[in-house]
Amino acid sequence: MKKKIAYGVTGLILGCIFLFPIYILIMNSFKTTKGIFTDVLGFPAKETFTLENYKNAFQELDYIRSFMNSLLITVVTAVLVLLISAMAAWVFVRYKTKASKIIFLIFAGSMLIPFQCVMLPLVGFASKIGLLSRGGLIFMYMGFQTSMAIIMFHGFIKNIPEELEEAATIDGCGSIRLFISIVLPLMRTIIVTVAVINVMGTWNDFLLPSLIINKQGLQTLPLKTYLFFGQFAKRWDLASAGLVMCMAPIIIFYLFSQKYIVKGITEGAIK
Amino acid sequence: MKAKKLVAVGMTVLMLGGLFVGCGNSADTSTEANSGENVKITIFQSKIEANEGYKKLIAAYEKNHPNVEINLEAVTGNDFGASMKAKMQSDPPTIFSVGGFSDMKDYGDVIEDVSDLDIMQHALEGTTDTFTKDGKVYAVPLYMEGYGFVINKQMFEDAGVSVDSMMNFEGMKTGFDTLKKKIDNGEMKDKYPNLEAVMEYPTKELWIAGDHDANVALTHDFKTPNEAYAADSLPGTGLEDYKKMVDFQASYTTNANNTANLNSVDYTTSLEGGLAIERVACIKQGNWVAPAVETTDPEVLQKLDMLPYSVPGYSDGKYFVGVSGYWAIHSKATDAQKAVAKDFINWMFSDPEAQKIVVNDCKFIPPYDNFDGIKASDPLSQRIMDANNSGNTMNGWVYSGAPNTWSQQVAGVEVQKYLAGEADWDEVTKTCIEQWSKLRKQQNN
Amino acid sequence: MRKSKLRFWGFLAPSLIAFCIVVIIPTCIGFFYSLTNWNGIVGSDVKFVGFQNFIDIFTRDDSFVHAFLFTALFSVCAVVLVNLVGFGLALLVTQKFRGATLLRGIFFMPNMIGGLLLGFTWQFIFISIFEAFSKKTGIAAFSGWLSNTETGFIGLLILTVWQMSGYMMIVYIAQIQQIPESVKEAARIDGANSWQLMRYIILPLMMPAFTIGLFLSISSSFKMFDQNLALTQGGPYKSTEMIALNIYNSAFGANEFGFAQAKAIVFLIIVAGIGITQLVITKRKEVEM
Repeated sequence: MKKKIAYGVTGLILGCIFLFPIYILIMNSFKTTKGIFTDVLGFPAKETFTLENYKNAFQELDYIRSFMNSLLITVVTAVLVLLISAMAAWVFVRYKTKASKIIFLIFAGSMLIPFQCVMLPLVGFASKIGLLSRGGLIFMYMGFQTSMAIIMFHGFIKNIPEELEEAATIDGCGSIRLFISIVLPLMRTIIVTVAVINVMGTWNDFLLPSLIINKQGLQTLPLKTYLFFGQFAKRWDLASAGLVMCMAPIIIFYLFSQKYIVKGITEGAIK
Repeated sequence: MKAKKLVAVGMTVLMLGGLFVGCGNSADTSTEANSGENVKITIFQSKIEANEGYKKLIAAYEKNHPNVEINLEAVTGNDFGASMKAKMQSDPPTIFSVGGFSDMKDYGDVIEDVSDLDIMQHALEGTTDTFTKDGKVYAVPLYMEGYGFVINKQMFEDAGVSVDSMMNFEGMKTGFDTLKKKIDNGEMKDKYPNLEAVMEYPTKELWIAGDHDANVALTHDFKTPNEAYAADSLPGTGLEDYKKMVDFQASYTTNANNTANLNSVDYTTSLEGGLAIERVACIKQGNWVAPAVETTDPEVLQKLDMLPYSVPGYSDGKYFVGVSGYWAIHSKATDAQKAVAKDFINWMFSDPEAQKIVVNDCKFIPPYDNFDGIKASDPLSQRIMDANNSGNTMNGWVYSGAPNTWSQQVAGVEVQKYLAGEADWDEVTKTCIEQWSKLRKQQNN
Repeated sequence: MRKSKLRFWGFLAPSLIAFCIVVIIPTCIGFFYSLTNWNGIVGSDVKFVGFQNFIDIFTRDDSFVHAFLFTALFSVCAVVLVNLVGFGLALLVTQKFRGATLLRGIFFMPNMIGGLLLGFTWQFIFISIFEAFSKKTGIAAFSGWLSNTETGFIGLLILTVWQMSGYMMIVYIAQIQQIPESVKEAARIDGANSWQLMRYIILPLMMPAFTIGLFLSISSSFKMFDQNLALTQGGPYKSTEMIALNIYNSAFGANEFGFAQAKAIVFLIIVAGIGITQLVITKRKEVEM
């Protein structure tokens, strides 16, 4: 019992530290610009409280449309990346050939390439093969994100005993069915974990979509939010409200997925 | 078993194939622009602050030209260089923002001669020099900006200092000292509870400590950006004045005794968190601060005025003014697109309705002489317009003729070091002069 | 079990194709550009200059070497802190107590804002909020943040730990939950105390996750860009400029794309060396269940 209280207290303190910047953001999103800069720490006072920031940010972000754009790209990307990466990671673990090892290392090594290095050649090459569109953006995410997902899946699958798969194969189970009905269910927890990380990354990404789909009507939420930060001046009143509105859907998604993670465990995916 | 494997391969191939096809289709529709009567052009620009104004201009233009569609894309200046290079690779814009000589050099192969635009006859003298080559002009000047010491007039008057008395360096110094004494005595506290110091000096921003303050030093040696651009070395006769003005500004801030801290003060802190909430009485800035002050506190905007950037015995009474934004037209756009782009630019600077939008919504000081009778929308721009008319100006953009990256990454960085006590002024001088020649040599290769 | 080549390549194909088109081919094109003086603008002249760019990296000025050293120092601190904090958080939230699930969400929350916007937010905190706090309390230590190299370094570190440890926590949680209760039970019955349980049971079984955690944190701290750009922009006086930003500035600030590509390749070789060494070392320590 004592232990539990100690955990609780530690958690509470750490939680407050972690939440502080977000608290600041939310507090200031309800203040006028003047209010933000005269008293940045406090609660909004009577004369500085405003809801205008949200109203204006909602309009300037073209929120509904940008939200739908972000949602579409994020969901399709997540599904495809998870699928292709799980497939690849599985064969990487189960095949201990030279080719398997080398290709895996190349995937891993590629994570060390700074995006800025491939950016220009990528955009040039992509425009030649007609990838400058939403579909192209999703395809690029597949290429960039698959390495990380493969590495995560790889570490996980290694700990799944192979016997189950062997038994299924003996029962005449083909590759695809084996993968879908045996392997994927076992990977449930890690799939949700990678999905969470992947969704965050795609949802918040700025540079790549700014290069590929920075067109009226196609912009995602971060692209629009970024417009509150001018080269010199930053509109903190609108930006703080915009950031909160950009985060909100993600937090809801996270809470939802977390329930699933917990459920997956209690159901006993791993015994 | 085997069949299933084949299905696996087939599935993946199909999946990828589908993606390719999908992309190919959508790309097709966007590239074909000039079929039929409809013309679609794209403007790719970096001045986010003017985006709303541009949108109004475009809406007004499209109303009169139903077959024209103008697509406006904006990327903030921080990323503009990168985004623009990518944009050039993928889907080149018809009109795009360009800045100084390095753009002239780097984009020289892809920008269109705009000398024949009607509006160019009205361009103010010197505003097209940067983009002139062999007598031809390659970019349209968009707006002028001017800087000096932006002050809260009301505060000085309450302290018994008149604006007119501060139009030269001596007067300004006396005025600042008077106000400083009153702030330190607590005499201003009742009326201005937030007031802390006379000035704020945000040297975290390299364009403030570098570009603008360095410009003073450069004008001693070069009268125009073109002269600076042609110079292989920097005589450096103005560097002492550079120091004088850096010291002057630093000495009136709250960090006067610990100038290293100035390197953490950013533009926003000095503006929305300084001038606009009456925490300080003055910042060295330009007319571009007006919109930010207005969103923070419109009443404060009406109290503002701009003093000249007076360097004692050198630029007393002068404002530093120049063109800071240009638009270029892509030379590889279709003829129809070019025609529309040119017509749009002509229209925005000559049609009376458009002119009003340019001044009131984009908040530009137009670099053209055909804007008679249109008043600026704020007191700061008005000051610059007046200074332009009376000739009380010096070139504020000579630094754009310095070797690429010199004014910020050399001059600005050195000032940061100086304020932090990491370098004395002799070292600053030495580095500034040495790096000029070195960078010039590299870049001419 | 029959393991056919077809299955291997079939399952690998989709990710391999995407990966080649998006990463490998552009990297190769990039390598080609590193041998030229291209300024990054389509339509301008490109001249082949051989290995001159690679020589220039080390002879022209010391900014690249400085940025590399700064990045290396930063990465060592960041990797250690991020993984310690991340593992600690993971242990904490996998205990059974009220609010553990909520805490997990809170610790992960920093990942829900993108890097650039996050950098701006922290810049605002360090500059405006710390300053306000310092004025209110009179503690000088909170004044002048980001104005010198030390506070710039610590500021970047705080931001990174704050953001990445939640991410690492998620990675570690997945692995902790993989450890069967029965193994822990058995150890407890054999009389192991919590320390022994940690040292001899949990840590060894965590090794695959550490491999991943270390690798991810090494690669992301070496490559760190958004946060660097938004928080310090390399300032004051370029002293906190990290390597990705240094490359970026060469490519897009100074318009020396070929030179920047050469820097990128040198950087890639160094980091790949470090990353692969780490993979090899930690992989050896993994136990298979």
